Amino acid sequence: MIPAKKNHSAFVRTDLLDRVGIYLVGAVLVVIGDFVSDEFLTVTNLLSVLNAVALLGIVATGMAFVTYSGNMADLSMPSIMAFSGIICVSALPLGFTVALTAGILAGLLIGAMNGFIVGRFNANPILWTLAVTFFMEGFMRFAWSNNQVYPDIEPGTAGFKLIGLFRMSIGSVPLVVVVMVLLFIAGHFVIVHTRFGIESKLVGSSKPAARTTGIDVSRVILLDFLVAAFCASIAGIFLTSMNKLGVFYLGKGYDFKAVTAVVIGGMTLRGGRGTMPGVLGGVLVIGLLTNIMTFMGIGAFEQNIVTGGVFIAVVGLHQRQLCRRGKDYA
Amino acid sequence: MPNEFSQNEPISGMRRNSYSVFRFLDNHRALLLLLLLFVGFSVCVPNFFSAYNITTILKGASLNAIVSIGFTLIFILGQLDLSVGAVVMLSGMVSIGLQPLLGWTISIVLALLTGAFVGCINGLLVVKGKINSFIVTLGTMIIVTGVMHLYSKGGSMAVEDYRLADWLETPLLPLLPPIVLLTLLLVLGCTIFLNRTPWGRAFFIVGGNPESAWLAGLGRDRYLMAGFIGCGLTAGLAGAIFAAGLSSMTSAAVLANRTLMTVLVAVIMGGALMSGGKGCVLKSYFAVLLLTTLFNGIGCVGLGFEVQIFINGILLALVVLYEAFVLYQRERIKGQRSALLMETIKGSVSDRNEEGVESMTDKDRFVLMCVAIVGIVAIVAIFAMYFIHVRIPVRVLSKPQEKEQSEFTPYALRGTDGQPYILPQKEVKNVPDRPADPKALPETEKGHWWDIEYAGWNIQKVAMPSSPGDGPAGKRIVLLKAGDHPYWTAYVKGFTVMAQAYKMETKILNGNWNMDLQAQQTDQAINERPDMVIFAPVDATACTPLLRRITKAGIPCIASNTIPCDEAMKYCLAWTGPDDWGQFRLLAREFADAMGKKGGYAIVRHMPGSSPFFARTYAPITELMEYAPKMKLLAMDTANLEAEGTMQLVSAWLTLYGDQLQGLVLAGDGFTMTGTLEAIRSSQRKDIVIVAAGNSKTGMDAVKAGDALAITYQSAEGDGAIAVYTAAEWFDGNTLPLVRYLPKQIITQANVDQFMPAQW
Repeated sequence: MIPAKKNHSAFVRTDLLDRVGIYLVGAVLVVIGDFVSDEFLTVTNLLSVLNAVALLGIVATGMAFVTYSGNMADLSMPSIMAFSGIICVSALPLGFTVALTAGILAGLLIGAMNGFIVGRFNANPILWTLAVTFFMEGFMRFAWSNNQVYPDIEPGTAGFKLIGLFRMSIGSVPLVVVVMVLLFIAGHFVIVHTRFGIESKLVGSSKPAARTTGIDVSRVILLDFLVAAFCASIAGIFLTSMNKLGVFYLGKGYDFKAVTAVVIGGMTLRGGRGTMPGVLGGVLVIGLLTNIMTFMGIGAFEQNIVTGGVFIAVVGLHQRQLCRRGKDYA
Repeated sequence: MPNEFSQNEPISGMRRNSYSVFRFLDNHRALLLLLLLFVGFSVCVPNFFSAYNITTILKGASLNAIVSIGFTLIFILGQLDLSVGAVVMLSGMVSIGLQPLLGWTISIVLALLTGAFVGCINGLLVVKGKINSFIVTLGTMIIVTGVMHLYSKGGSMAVEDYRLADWLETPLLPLLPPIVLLTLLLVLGCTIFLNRTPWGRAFFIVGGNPESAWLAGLGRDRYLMAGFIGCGLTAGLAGAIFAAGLSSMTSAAVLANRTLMTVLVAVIMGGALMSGGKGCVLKSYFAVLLLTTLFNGIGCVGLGFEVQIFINGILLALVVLYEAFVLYQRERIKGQRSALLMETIKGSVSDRNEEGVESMTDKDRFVLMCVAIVGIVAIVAIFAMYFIHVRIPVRVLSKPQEKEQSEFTPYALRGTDGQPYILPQKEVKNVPDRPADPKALPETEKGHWWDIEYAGWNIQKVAMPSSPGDGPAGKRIVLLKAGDHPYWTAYVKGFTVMAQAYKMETKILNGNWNMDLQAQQTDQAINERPDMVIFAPVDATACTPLLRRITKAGIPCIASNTIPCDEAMKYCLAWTGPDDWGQFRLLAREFADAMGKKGGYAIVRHMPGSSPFFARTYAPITELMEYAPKMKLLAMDTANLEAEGTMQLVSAWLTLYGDQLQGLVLAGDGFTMTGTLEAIRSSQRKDIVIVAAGNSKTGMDAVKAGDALAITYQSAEGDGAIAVYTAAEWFDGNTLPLVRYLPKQIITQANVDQFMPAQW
């Protein structure tokens, strides 16, 4: 798209500011929040912020892998969420464990298709996943005739267990927050310490270079999309559990929300750059921002404007910093 | 990317001669598919091939077509602009909002400037800020949507001057009203500019090969700026024309999203590449027409929205796969230096051999193309078969054709929840006098909302078609429903059951919450010439010109579900549906009683752009002002009916207001209820009184469990049935009431069992 400025400072180690940048924004927000209300810096409030962004965090973990490997975004993630949720509810008569497995497998199926076609045939990831969104929506509307499917809510049934999944907590920390944190830790470990993570980075940085090094590029991309689908199906099952129903439009809007979180966290859309802790920071900043603005009594419309502004500003600053060090476009 | 192929140039030059058929197919795929679909539908589907329907398609495509001009330009430059949909809505809103003050000319110019301004900001951020355009425009999309909602206060806007709208719609030449002519002129003009002038060609070089553009002395920044401003400008123009054509603008953000998606799909189908350097405005226009024809044709067959979106997805997938395949083939022969090879071969080996190697790939592509075409033919054939075999036996359903008609009473029909669909109407709503100037009163007074709450009660109707007076049996009615939602699935169920009882034929078109689509479907419904149209508006204000269009065509029309604005009521026989304001006044009293008429409360609002956004907020506020003046409204906001958003919102309120907050009024009992209950559960408050608009299964379960105090009873099936019932009454020759409400009831723990199982 744009010629990369070839500069040897690409080899300069990512400096500290790059790593903690988004946490600085977070810290500023915390100070503002503390200033706005005494209730802000309480365990209850911070836990509720975490709880509210937990699903976004899970989706963003998956999205990060797609972005990191240079595939920009997986727009089919909302479909995967809805599909795994609806399959999970439909499979409940077979038992709780079977239903969960079926839900995740259903999501992985879409992920595998995405990964295969993008990886093997080099299809444009955004357009392909957009097409998947369309026909999955058509399929789910058709198969469940535009209806919501409800699980059983009688105590003791599999449906009751499914609904309890979102409401479960370990100590005072909700299960979904724990899952989010675990996924982030796992994601960080995979990206930094495993062969697959390092291959993803190389594929994201330059596909031809990765190919000439002997990396099986299509396999790496397939795996990246599978990870994304796995995270999306977990989020989808949690979302279904929270809403106590499965329906084709569940999860709508998570695609762009997740991209926002990933990019604000310092991962660049061109791939190969960024960290998992950064993405977690991005997710937290989005949660804190909404929370503080609600505390200040700012309405949803103005919140949109501020969120969009902060998004562009943070990414813009990051970009300036990259440019100054002679790196390419974000 | 194109520079990689320069070494293959001699061969591709030769290929052009020998495989022109294939090249022709590929180059004109949008046009060919369009023709194929058009011929297929014309042969297989009745009502499709008519002058009126062709105009409908051309008119319906105009919004997306104009947006796609700028969008193609952005694609040629190798960028992306996600903000076009939001810009369409903002500029439409600006042109409508300023029209009463400044007149059409200036307001449309300002709308254009708005679009150009947003484009300029996008351009500056991409060029000077050096940020990826995907990110920049994602950000501006969110910002522009916020600005649009702020400007319109979450509601829709309308002007009561239809002269421009009428002019835009009346054909000047056969088939071509000005709105289509304008679109065509713009498309042709921009095609010629881009393909035939040096300035236009420069866009291709800048987008396709930045390095040679730099070498040629073309300033990349300048062209990028021009591209973004151009894109903003066309989006602004499209919005202004769309708004002028409807004399109103909706603020439901679905329009923005759908416009963006449709245009994106169309531009890809038209042959543009995301990596830049390729694209053609005219082909994008054909692709927009292709998609519009597809939706129109499938609607004519009577298949649902799920089929439309499914085929849309398959088509896009095929195109993306095909592009990928072409690229894959090019990658494969990339390093082969075939030009060099050919030079050495020329003397010794015959050309045929060399061509044989090359033609393999071309044959593959040709096969793929054939498969795609066969697929399309198959789809068309499936429609035809569906039409022939499935649609006719439907009539068998009404078996007992004897004297049942005289015995049948609509009051005996019951919904899945065991409640009767309709009750014999007795109560007459007493309507207070209209205040002299409602808008001058503060929002917290009932009078301010008079025009919305009592829309249609003292309106002078325009001349309506007169009833044939020969009863409902055998009449054809078309339902234009607002969109898909489980509520609407239940609605259609009640609608169909009632219509079958009256032996009426029905056809249902789904607007998918998109104003643009509903406008197209209105024309489509008129084209069918049914005996009656039942119209469930996507937008209470913006539906006025559509109802007007139906009535002008001489087709009787009943509005249903969402209460249209006062102006729109002029153009329909009657309106039937839930009394949202009345229900919420009842609910507010129940709420106040439970709170002892004191304490603070907050309201979680409906989606902006919908009529409950106001009804379910201001009915309780104004009612509580009178009934329980000591109660204090602490906060109100929307979370777009999402569970996670509501949870976040309510959690923040609970923390912020603490014990002050004792009650919550919710605009929905589905996801909103779930989110609220989650927030309350984690805050461990037990004393919060919750009332909500009902009645889904989630809400009823909450009432039954004691989590919520009360919800309203709004029978979705009854909503559909009452519209048909009213239509049947009209066919019998009875005079209709202006407004017919569904029965009002409040569900509490005491009576929740009689409403189980839930309809949706």
